[in-house]
Amino acid sequence: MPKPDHYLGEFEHLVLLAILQCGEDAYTVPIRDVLAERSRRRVARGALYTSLDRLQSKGLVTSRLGDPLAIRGGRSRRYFSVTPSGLTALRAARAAVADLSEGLESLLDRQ
Amino acid sequence: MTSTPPSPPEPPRLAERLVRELASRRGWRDVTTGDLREEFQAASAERGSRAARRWYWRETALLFLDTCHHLLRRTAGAIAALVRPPGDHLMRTLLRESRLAVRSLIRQPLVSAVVVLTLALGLGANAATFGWIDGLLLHPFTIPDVDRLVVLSENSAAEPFPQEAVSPANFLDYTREARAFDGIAAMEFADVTLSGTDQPERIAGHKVSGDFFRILSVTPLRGRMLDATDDQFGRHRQVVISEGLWQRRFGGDPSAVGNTIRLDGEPHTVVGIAPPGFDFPSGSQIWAPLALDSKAAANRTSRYLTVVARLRPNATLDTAQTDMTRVFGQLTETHAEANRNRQLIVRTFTAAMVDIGMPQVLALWQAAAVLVLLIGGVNIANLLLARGASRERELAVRLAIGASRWQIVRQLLVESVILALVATPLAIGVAAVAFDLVKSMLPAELVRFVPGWNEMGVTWRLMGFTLLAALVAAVIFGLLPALQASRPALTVALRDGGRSVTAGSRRHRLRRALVVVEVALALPLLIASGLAATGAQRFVNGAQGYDPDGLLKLRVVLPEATYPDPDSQRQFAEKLLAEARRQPGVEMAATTLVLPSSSSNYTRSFLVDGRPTKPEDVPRVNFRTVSADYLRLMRIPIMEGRDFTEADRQDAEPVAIVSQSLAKQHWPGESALGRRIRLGGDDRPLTTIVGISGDTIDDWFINRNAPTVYAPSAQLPMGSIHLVLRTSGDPAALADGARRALAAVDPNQAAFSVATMREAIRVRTSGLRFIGAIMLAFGVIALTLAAVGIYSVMAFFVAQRRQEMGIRMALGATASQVLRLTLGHGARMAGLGIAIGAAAGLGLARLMESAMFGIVRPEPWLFISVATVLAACALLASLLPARQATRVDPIVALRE
Repeated sequence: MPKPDHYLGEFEHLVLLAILQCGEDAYTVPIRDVLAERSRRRVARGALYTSLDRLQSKGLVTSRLGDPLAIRGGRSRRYFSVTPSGLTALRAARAAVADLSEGLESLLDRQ
Repeated sequence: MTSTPPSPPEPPRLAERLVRELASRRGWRDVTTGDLREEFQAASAERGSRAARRWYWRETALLFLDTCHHLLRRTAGAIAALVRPPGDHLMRTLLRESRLAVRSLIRQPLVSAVVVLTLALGLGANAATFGWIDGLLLHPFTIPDVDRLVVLSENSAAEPFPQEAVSPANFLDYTREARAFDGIAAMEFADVTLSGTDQPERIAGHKVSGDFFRILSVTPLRGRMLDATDDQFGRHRQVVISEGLWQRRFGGDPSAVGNTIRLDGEPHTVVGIAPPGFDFPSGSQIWAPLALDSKAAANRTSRYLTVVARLRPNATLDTAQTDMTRVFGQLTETHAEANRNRQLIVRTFTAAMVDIGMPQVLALWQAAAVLVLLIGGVNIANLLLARGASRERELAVRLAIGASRWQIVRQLLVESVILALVATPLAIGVAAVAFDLVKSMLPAELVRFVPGWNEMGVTWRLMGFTLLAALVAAVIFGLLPALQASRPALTVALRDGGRSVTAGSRRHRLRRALVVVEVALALPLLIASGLAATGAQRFVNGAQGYDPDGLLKLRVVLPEATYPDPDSQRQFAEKLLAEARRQPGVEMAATTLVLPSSSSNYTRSFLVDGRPTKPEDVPRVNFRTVSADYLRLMRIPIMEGRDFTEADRQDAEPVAIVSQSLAKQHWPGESALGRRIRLGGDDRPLTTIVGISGDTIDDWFINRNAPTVYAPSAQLPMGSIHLVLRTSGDPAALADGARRALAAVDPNQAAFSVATMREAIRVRTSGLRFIGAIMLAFGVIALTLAAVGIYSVMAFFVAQRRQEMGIRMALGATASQVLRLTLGHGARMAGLGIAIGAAAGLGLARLMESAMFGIVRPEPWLFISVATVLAACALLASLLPARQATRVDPIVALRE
């Protein structure tokens, strides 16, 4: 397994997963919705944008602008996708979690 | 017709600008505004636009907090590194400064207490007016999505106030033709007499059309609400009653639904109970179907319906106005006669339903409250200046050992902010007390016409406003003294221990200027409160045009079912008078259609024989049918001609008496006697004017000395009757007799509005008295604060110049010379303030003239007496310190 260039913060980790969950439709509104829904916590708008900025500057995500939309008052959506190094970082994080969880199933799987 | 494509709902414009501003700081402007818009559209489709707008504001606030947090975190480190030794954190510094501030505030508890109390009064006054504006003007209705409701009115340019009046036939056309609405509903004022249970009772009610409950989103507590199936003539004897009436008359019994009750003598089935608190419109307790019959459905000239509509999801006020202008345009062509010179206006529900005159009165109060806060603030600045002077040494030491000026200013500002934070809950308490007082001031008869009155109270909005105002006030009033105190003449302050004449002179000039400002602010406020109070007084106790003492009144409205024709109504009135005259203590009894100071009025169109008038120019005049001795009983004078007599009967020649104002208006310079008129249309009989009566004040608001026609009720009987009784004893004691007389004639009729005439005037003028009382309260607070301000400056002045006084007295100045010197000082400040304030006072008096419908008269004597009172207070406030100055012992003063 290739070694990632960056380690992920907890929130960054969740944001990357949320982008992947949204698939083609990964722009800011559904990303925030998915994050809030699945992580069961309030996601401050500013925190999400800052995190996306940081992920992009680390090269873990890329973004593009969509067409201007009337529903947004003539502004565009910003769509995000996870880059290959983003995926690498996710896999590494997952592997680390899996490694560290080994042998603790009886404790961690309990409801 | 061209239809505009539906435009999506817009988020609150101000909030969106804020968002743009906030987001641009972090480089995410377009995405943030776009996201919020997109989510706003979803929210408004899901929860309605009102909820969506609230949501948008909440998001804006969150974004604001978020941005603050972000900026604070990002800059705190940088600032800490620059200003403080490493390891010192901004929060820790603030905490330390707050501790320091609290300690220094506690060291001078009296000053701190005075500042807190002054702030609490000033802020409390503002919180109360904010609460009134918020509760009565901006959010008076608890109806869901009230911002999607509009009110239609057919206005003519001739009417002084826009009225929510639509004719039935036009209303029916609107329901068919309008495209901008989800539903349109009409309502008609219809108080009813509820009989058949224990005692007949008059109940506030409305007739409403089929869509009424649907567009107001009212869901029943029990049973069902009325709908379109009830709104048909012949099937209309079904009513919904309020939760309050249900509890009161049926003890909350669930089986009341389905029961039959008698309203105006006719059986009606109760089909549902309205949810608790629903009493729209105007405190209604009972709602019956409008159920227009064929005659009413064809009526285009009587505009007695109030029409409310709910906008379609994509319609706006503008598109609705465009659409209704089109519909009304068609009506002015097809029914030109009835709709001439009118236009259809669509207004928001809240704007249309708010009491006429309320915005002006509230603006006046808000202006007064701001003045009170300013005066209080000037006092606070003054006190803090004095405190700064007494702490000169402490501050000088801090400066000398290296504190920067900014640190000192910040320290002093933290102190004023802490004072403001302590004052805020007190101010909210002041406002809460004001709400309670004010709620008890308006009688229930009027409260039903003031939407939002009962819900008025302390809200989150009010608390937020008060806190914000407190912080702003703290910074504004604390900054000047802080800047002043942070630049002491270092060497002087340290050398002579703070006792100096010269170093304090600049500060003292500032304090004197503040007192001048304070007096200049207090004068206009006092003038305004004097105007309001004297205006109210004049209408309560002034001449009414009749003699209101020794009168008792009672009202009864005969239902058409039992008294269908003029004959039965005439017989009822005659029997009632005969019974009333038999009651002990009654010296005279009379009936009239309308009494002065009652809540109803009747008008008729007025045509002069032989004077052709275009239909739209026909004037409407007050119309009263009265029994023969009504004018004698009321002591309304006959200026010319004769009074009515028992001979003016049904079969005699139709006669009328007109008021002086009417005679003057229609026959200027000539006698109106013997002229012939028609009342209520071309088809009415010619009536001869036989007398001219004096004018009366029917209502201080819009019905003073208005043109009035009296006609004998024997010739024109009506179903609505006021019985008036005159006694030389206590009129209130006649109430039981009056009720007995009514019960003897017909036990099924409810006597209502039973009151003495004095009481009726009191109730009718309570709005005015209320305005006067509030303004008076503001005036008294302002006067007190101004006097305290002058006192504190003069006391300080004397204390600072003890030495000088001592020298003067040692050199032979007499006590009266010293007294004159000090008093003259106070008088100069007050005089200058009064001169400046008089100009502002004139302006405010003008504003009040228009706000209070001409009942306020800015008379010179009032200006002069108010200025005198203020000057007297100022002199009194400087007299105490001045006397102290004369008691200075030269030896002691010089040795100090």
